[in-house]
Amino acid sequence: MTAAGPPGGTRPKLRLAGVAKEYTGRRRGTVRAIGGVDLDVRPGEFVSLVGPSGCGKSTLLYIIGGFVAASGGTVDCDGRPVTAPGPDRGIVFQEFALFPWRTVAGNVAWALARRGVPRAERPAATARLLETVGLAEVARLYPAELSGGMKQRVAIARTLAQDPDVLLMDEPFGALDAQTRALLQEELLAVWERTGKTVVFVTHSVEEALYLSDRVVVLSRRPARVLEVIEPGFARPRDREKVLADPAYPALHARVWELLRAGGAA
Amino acid sequence: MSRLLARCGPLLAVLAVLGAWWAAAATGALADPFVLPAPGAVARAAAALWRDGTLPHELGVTLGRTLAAFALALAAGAAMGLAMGRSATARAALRPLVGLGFATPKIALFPALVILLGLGSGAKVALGFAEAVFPIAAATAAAASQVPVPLVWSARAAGASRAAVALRVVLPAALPGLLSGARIGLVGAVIGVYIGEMVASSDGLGHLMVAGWRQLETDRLYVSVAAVSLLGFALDALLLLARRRLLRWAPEQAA
Ligand SMILES: Nc1ncnc2c1ncn2[C@@H]1O[C@H](COP(=O)(O)OP(=O)(O)OP(=O)(O)O)[C@@H](O)[C@H]1O
Ligand SMILES: [Mg+2]
Repeated sequence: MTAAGPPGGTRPKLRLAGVAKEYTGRRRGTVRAIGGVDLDVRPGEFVSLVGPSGCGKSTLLYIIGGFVAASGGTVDCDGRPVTAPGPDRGIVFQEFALFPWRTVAGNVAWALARRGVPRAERPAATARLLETVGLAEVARLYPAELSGGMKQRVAIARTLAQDPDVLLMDEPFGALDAQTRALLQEELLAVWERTGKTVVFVTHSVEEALYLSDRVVVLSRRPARVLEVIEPGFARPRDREKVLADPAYPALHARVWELLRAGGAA
Repeated sequence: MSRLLARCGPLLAVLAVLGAWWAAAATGALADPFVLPAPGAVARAAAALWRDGTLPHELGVTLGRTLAAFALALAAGAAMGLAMGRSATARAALRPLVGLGFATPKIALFPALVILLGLGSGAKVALGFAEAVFPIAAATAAAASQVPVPLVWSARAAGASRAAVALRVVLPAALPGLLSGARIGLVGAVIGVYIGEMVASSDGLGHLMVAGWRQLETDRLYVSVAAVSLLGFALDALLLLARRRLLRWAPEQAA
């Protein structure tokens, strides 16, 4: 199974067709990171990418973001080919990537300004976004004064400030402790359900992928291809306890692990 | 106790230097007023030069030239450094230039600068600029090339143009490095201007030093040396203050 189309006939938000990527380095020669990925993501869908370490998940996300050029195939967003970064596709990195010289509010307001929100409306909009991620009280602090979980909340608020249709998230909770991670997963689901954004979410955690996603795309070892697409199908809005207690959960979990092992988990 | 010591440290150090100076001038091989006048003699000469207006005037001249040289070097060095840090083409073009300029003894160009710019301030400002610009460019280039990629991409995704990224992401991110270069550049500007004034000038602290030497008024020579050292020290302290304000967001950087 290589092509992964959404059920139903709506136009996809994202369409990846034969996306391939080779890195040419002086020391390693040519590295084939992605070996041809076909994937359609429908509007408002939550899709996770899982795969062995180093298989090309981040690279695939960066290609969708327009930060890195594919060496083969095409990515369309709303039917238009992606050639550069754009405000319709926001990105959240594992390492937070906040502007350390701006306060929490300054980081969010900056993204609002890039979107052309008038100066007079920015404070209220900033406050609303910080409220969304539960950070109203730390608006005047600098990133260096925040915990990891708070930093990632700010990064999410800043990305929401650019009001993208598509949220690209590269292991956003990978650097957080288990408790904070669980909390942020729930907050992300709440934001997603309220805003209806399309999410492409890279993770190492099978549990996280199954809990959050409409579909889990399992990638092979490098060069990455789609091994299988799994639809957890748990009821929305999701409840972690119910998901974990669902009779279908153990089999799904085992299936993803089996694929990862067969695909060459490092 | 250790806090008290830390507070008084600078004062103790100055006292120690003055004491050693006084002792050396009073006894031993340096006890020759032409080699090393006593601190008291230099202080008296400084007071006299201050009262007759010579010292404030020369100090003002040197300060003006230094600030001009430093401001120009800061603008040019930061621009060159940012370009080198962000564009492979600019790096290829400028790196040999900056590397050579760094290593060249700038004073060797001074005759040419005097012919080009005359005996006034121009040539001295140019020499101070030449001393200051390369460390600033090199430090800025290094810092700008290390700006985390996710910062730049986040800005690009938010809709920032390339120019906006350079000015509002790369520049602030490279600021700690730029300011470290600026500290070295500032001292370079002081020294460049002073040496220019020593070689060919009718005013400035460097001229005061050479005049004292020629007329065998060694205490005036040391007034000039002390004044230019204090000037450099004060400007560096001001820069550190500005740095602390500018880098408030990075407490560990502001030391
Ligand atoms: N800029 C680059 N230049 C050369 N090779 C690269 C570059 N970026 C990634 N690669 C290579 O491409 C392959 C895929 O990297 P990528 O970061 O996309 O993997 P990943 O699936 O995100 O890994 P992880 O799960 O560890 O985050 C790796 O072999 C990596 O070494
Ligand atoms: Mg990765």
